[in-house]
Amino acid sequence: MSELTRIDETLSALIRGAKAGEEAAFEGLVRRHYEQIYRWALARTGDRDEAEDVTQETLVRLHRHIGSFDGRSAFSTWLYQVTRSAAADLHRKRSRRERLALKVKQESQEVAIDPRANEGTADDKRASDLVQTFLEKLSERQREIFDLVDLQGFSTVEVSAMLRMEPVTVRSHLFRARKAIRKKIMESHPELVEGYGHEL
Amino acid sequence: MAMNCDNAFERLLDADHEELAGQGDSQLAVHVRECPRCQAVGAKLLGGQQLLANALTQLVPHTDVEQALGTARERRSRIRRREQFWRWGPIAAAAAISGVMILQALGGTPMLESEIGPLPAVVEPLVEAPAGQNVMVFETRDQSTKVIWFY
Repeated sequence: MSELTRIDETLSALIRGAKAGEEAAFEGLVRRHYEQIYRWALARTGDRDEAEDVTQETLVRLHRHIGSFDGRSAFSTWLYQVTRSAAADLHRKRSRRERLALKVKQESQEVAIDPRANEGTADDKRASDLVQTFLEKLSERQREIFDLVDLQGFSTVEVSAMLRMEPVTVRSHLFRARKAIRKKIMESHPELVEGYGHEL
Repeated sequence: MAMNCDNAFERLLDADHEELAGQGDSQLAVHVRECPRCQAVGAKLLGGQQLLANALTQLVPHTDVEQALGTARERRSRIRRREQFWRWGPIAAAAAISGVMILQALGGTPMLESEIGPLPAVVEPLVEAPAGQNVMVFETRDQSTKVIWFY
């Protein structure tokens, strides 16, 4: 039996168990996909704390909706949609809360301190800054498509299924994201751009 | 028509990875293979993207998976309790209110007798919805007051 087949069978067994309400199977499924869910959430939100909240919300929704997974799409496609929907809902709630918080902050002029701000290694901080620098200028959609296709290696057809979008639209977002990110990369290497009849 | 560096540079900004690496038969890939300057640009772009991919992989959740599972379990049971409350709470409240009314009607001391007058011996619904619909309307002695029970 090939490694890939064995992995597929393990995943199928976990999904079947989770659908039947077996807690151990559900937890196995979560352990297997936890970092992937976080990664998707991070690429979509561009913010680590928000990504943690999205991941947590996704786990709750996964438990609630696993029964509705019918196997017509790949599990990763379905799970990605659960994550996206959790991210979109939390984003809406957060925007509302932030508007209120901003109002309170303006009144009290107190600066909130993030307890996690000093956590993590210097490497983590560098990685976090790098992600933010590259991704902040992109729209949510561009960020997620760029991450899925160029960084995680999903095909545009797979991504179009994940996002329920036409492949041509996926490619159009992808090109725009690539252009923005690559211009950013080239900005830090002006010596390479010299001589081209092109301005960044 | 052969591709020049300016055209290649423009195309490198949205090209696929293989073309950035000079792989394949496209005009751009051929140009990248043959032009050291565009090759350097392609390599730099691939390197930059790899750096970003590594950074994203390096950033793992602060919360350990077991802790996240524990939190998810707690949240699920909170949600279940809330759902159960909303499923049974209104029915229990309505039953309690009608129980109090019936007890009062059967001989208890009506708390608001001075305001609404003595209650009838038996409370009969004024209107009862057909089976499958869950509402009843009771009349009180006070002509201006009706009790509508959704259950």
